[in-house]
Amino acid sequence: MPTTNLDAVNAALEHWPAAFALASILVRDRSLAEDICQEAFLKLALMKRRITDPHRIKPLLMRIVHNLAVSESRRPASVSLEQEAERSGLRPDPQAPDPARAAASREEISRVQGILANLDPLWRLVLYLRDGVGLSYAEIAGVAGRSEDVVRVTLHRARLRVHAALKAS
Amino acid sequence: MRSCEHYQEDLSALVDGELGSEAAGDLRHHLEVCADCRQVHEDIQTTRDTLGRTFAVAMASAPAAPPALSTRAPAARRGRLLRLRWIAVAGVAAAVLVFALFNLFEVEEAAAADVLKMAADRHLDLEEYEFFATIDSEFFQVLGNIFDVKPKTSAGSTCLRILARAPDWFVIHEVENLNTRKVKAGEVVGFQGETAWKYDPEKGEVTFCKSGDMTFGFLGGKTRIKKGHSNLFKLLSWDFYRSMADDQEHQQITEITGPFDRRIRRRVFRLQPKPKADGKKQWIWSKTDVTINPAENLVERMEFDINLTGISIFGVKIELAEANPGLSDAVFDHRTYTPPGTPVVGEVKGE
Repeated sequence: MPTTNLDAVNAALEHWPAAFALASILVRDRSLAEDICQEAFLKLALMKRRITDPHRIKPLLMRIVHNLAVSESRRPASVSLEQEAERSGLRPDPQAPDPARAAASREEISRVQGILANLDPLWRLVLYLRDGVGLSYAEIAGVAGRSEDVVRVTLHRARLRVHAALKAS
Repeated sequence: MRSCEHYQEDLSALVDGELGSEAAGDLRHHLEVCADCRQVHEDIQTTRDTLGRTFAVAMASAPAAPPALSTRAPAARRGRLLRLRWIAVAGVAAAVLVFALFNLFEVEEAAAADVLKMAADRHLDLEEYEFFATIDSEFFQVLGNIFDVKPKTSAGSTCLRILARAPDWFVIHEVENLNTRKVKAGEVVGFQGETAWKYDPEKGEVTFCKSGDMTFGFLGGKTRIKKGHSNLFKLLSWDFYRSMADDQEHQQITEITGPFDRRIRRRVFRLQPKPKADGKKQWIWSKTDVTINPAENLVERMEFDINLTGISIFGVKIELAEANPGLSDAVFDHRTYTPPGTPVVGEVKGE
C-alpha cells in the first residue's frame, strides 16, 4: 500500500471528532458517518500527492468528508421519523464524554439542532466549518467548492437565520 | 456613505477576523455611533457562541477514533512482502473468478412466477412499511425543453415518502425534488380507513374528508385515491403482478437477473407485453421490473414504466426502505406535520 501520507494521517486523527461531526451533520446517521470518516482517512492515507504542510490536512480532510457525504446522501434515505433524531449525529450521545454539555443547556442545543436540520445543506456546512471546526473563509470555500464571497454572504445569512429562529422559539 | 445594511453584511466577517484592516476600522467606527448595528453585531456574536457550543456537543458525541494506521514494513522485508503481495493478488483474482463463474451459472431452482408470488405475498404479512415512490416523466421534460416552458414536471423526479401500517393507515408526503435536491414543504396526506386528512402548507390548515374524496398533488397534477388504503397495501402484493401477468396472451414474465444482481443476491423479473405475433413494432408499451430478495422473500423494488417510441412517458419506482416494526402513532397523526395551532376543518370521524 503506497501510504505516502501515513504519518500526516496519523497526526490528523486528532481531527476525527470534527470529521465525524461534519459527516453526521450532512448524512444524519451515526453509523454512516463513521463509515464515511474511516473512508476519508483511508483516502487521505492513499493519496499519491504527499501532504507536507500540516495546516492543509484539516481542510483537505473536511473536503473529502464533504464529498463522500454528498455522494452518500444522494442515495434514498431509509430512516424512520423517530429514528432520524436518535440516529442523527447532532443528538448528544449520553455515553460519550461531553465537556461542553455543562456549558450549554440541553434545551438550547435541542432547539439549535432543530433549526439546523431545517437549513439548506450549504448553510449547515458553512456554519459548521466556521463555528464548529474554525476553518478560514478561504478554506471553507475550498471545501464547499464556492467562492470566498459566497461563503462570507452565506455564513452571515445563515447566522442571522439561526438567530431569528432562536428568538422566535 | 455606506448604509447600515451594507455595514451589517460585513459583521460576520468582522466577528471572524476575516475583514481587511481598513474595512474593519471603518465598521468599528460605525458601530460606535449606530445602536442598531451594534445590536446585530451582538446577535451574531451570541449566535456564533451558541452554534459553537452545539457543534462541540456533536463532536464530543463522536465514537472513538480508530487506532493509528500501521507503519510501513522495515526495508529488509519489503522485497519478500512485494512477492507475497503478487501471490496474494493472483490468489484473490482466482477466487473472484471462481466465485463469479459459480454465481453466473448458478441454477435457480424456483420458477420466476413462484418466487415473485412468495415475495409479493410476504408484504401482506408485514404490518408496517416504509418506502419511497419516485415519480418521473421524461416526456414532459422533453416537451418542456422543446416549447421552452417550465411546467412543474420538467423539474425532474419527485420522491414521495410513504409510511404505512396495515391494515388501514398510511401517510404520504413529498420528500424532495431529486434534481434540485430541495426538500419541499409540500402537501402531506394521511389515510385511515374511510377517513383522510391533508395538510396544505399554503393554506396553513388541515382538511379532513372521506378518503375517496381526497386528492393530493405531485408533478404539478392532482391524484385522487379512490380506495386509498386497500390499493396501497396491494401495490406490492401478488395480486398486483398477477393482474398484469395472468393475461398470458399478451403478457409474459422473464427473469433478467444480471451478474450484478447475483452478486448482491437478488433476482430481477420483467413483466411486459409479448411481442406481436405479426412482428409489428409496438409504439407504446409498458414494463415492470421487480427486484426480489429471495433470502427475505420480499419485493424490494418495483419499477413501472410506460414508454412511447423510446421516451418514458411516465415512470414510477417504489423502493422498500424498511419493513419498519416501530412506527409510532405520532407518525400517523396530522399534528406531527403541522405547526402548533394549525386549524382543522371538515373533520369526519372514521367509520
